[in-house]
Amino acid sequence: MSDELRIGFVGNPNCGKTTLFNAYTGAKLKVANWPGVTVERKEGAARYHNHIYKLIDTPGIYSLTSYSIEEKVTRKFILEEGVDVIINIVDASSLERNLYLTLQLIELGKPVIMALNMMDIVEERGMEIDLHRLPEMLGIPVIPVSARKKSGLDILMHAASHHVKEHHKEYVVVYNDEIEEKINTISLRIKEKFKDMENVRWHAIKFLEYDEEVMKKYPMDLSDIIDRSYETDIINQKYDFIEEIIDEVLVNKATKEEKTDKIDKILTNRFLGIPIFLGIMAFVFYLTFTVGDFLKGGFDIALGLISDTVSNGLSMINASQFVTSLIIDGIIAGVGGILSFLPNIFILFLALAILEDSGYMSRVAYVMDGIMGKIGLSGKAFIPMLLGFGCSVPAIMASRTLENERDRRKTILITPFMSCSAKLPIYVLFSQMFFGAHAMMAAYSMYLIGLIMAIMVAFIMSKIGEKKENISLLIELPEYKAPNARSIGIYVWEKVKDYLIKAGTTIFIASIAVWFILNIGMTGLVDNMGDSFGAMIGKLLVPILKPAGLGLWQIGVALISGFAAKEVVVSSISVLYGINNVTSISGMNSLLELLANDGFTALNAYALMIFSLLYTPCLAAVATMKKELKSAKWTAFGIVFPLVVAWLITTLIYQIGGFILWQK
Amino acid sequence: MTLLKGTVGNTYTVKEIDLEQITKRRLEALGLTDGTKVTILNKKENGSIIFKVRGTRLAIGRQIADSIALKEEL
Amino acid sequence: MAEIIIVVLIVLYTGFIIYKKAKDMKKGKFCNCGRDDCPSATKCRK
Repeated sequence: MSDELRIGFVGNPNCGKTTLFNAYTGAKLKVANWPGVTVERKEGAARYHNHIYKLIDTPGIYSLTSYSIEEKVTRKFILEEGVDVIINIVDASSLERNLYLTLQLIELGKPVIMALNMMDIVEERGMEIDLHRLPEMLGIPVIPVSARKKSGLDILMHAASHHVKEHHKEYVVVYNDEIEEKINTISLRIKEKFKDMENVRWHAIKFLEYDEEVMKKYPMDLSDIIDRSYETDIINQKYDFIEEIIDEVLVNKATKEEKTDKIDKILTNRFLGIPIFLGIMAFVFYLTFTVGDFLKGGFDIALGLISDTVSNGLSMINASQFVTSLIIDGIIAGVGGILSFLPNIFILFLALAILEDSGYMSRVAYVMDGIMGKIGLSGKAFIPMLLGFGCSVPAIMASRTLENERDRRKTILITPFMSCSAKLPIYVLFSQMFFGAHAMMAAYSMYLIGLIMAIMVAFIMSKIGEKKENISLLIELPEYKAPNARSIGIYVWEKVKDYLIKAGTTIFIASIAVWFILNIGMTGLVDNMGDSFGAMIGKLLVPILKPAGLGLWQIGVALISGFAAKEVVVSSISVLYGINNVTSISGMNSLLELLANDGFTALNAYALMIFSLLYTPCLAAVATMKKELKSAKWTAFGIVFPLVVAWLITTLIYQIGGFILWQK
Repeated sequence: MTLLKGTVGNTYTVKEIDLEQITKRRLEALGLTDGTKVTILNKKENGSIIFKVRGTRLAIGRQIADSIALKEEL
Repeated sequence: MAEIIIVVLIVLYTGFIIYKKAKDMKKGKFCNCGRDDCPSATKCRK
């Protein structure tokens, strides 16, 4: 029985659509792609009064033209996929701008309801919206909601279910006589040729706008009626109507300087902007290390307990040396070592989520636009780079917001230089072991060096490449808002879950694999790791890595294993040196001793950190690069180039560092 | 005179926008049409500007700023 | 006896993971930051 209502959520970016959608669907949502394109589509279900509603979320769009993938996808969804009712989420504090999309949606001819979101902000500002006049003028129901406060949700759903059968007037905007006449004539012609068409008026308007998609789909000769594109006229007249609505409906337009503007005066100040940004990033990393470390203590204890318990258990069943070693020195050492970094990762993602949710990220694009311009990119390219501090994979995908192909490619290639969270365990471990009081500085310097390298590479690329028109920055700066605990909670939990899953899958397997190649050699099971296959491979690399200060076969093996996932470098080190709890004091001391025996000093440690920062990213990142770059040639470049850069820079730093220290 | 030469804190009226279609439409969807009033909130040395149009805050780069022609007024 | 069970479990689990990863790779889902669908940036970071 088709009791299932299909409801589409459509609205501007930053209007609270996602928050509202989540409020209804909770965590029960399915994420996929819209058919044929790589734009995200979210589907969920909600249950109200014994009815099941299927909710479909669309990408945030500003209008329904056919100029961008997001718009096309949403249009297609509404026209072809059988939506019963559309909920148009509108940010009440930006009513004027949001109405542009609303008018277009209504003109489409499907049942539309407006969810007027963020009413609390409107109240705060002393603005008032006439909730009787607005629905009157638009001809659709208007329901005030607050996604964050979760108010009005029931009413909205209720209204949606009752509005389904309504076919309200398509005449929300009445254009001037000339245009209305043409619409009439065109409509008649359309009805003659395409008898079954719904939304005739909308299509007629599209023809007048020279809309590519519609003209291609319904080829008609209308040259006698349509002498030119009326797109600009139609847009302007829509805005005229919007102004009418605003005049009547909006009382007390906020005239006092809004809080957001006050904050922006400081955060986007032409002199303070960048220092503030660097300061904020420094603070984020400070928290990541200190609070993270504080929480880590508990993990270490738990890990130690588990390790002991398992060890005892195995000896109780008289397990063979092979199996015991596999489990303790392989699996537990490798995976356990990684798990203990969870607190650091947690803090990092929490901070990034807060920055994003508060609205600050877009300001960063503006603040960095100057520097980005000097390296041939727009400020918008900085956002993917910033995301790269979390994980390269979504950062590379975020480069889709850049319109220029060359800029996209450049951004994708330099993003891996931004130190991703997976490299954090490497820094934390080695900086704490070798740099004592300066551990945090050493680790923070990695992020700075990564940023500088990314900028330098982009700069060089822009000098070598062809001189082309730069695409200028264009980004909306939403209102600042207090980060929503619920959405942040969901997001960070997702990240934590991801981390745990990664530990239990990729790192689990990688640890076993590393353990295997380190314990199997020409003679089968070896006593001395130095005789294993792994060692043989590592030893091949020693001459190459020596100038870079990494001339130990163990390091070579660890770095190779980093291709699976960067955390595996730490896992491998654990396995290589037989350390069970690598982040505990005892574990670190043992490791320190073993490394020192091989001549590994602080300078070598720093070299290792730098090499890890810069060299080829993990398999997942490379695979994503291939998908986004769509070119084997550039992907190969993305694999080899970082490797070469890593070697050069590390060698440079190691040699110069050695020289300076030698002088002392 | 274009938006690029505007002063922070002032309000101007847009005369026309001289950009390629895609960007122009994007700006229009954000509310920037001929005859609209814009207020400049912030300006950087390299020409990037933050301005307000129809209650929306936009940040644009130098090139776009220089393509927005303004009506001479006051 | 117990030992053999443990080893078998490890092998099975490992095989299972490899199988899943291979399937994901083929379908084009390379999100190292998660195991569910990772179609676009917005999902992975929000």
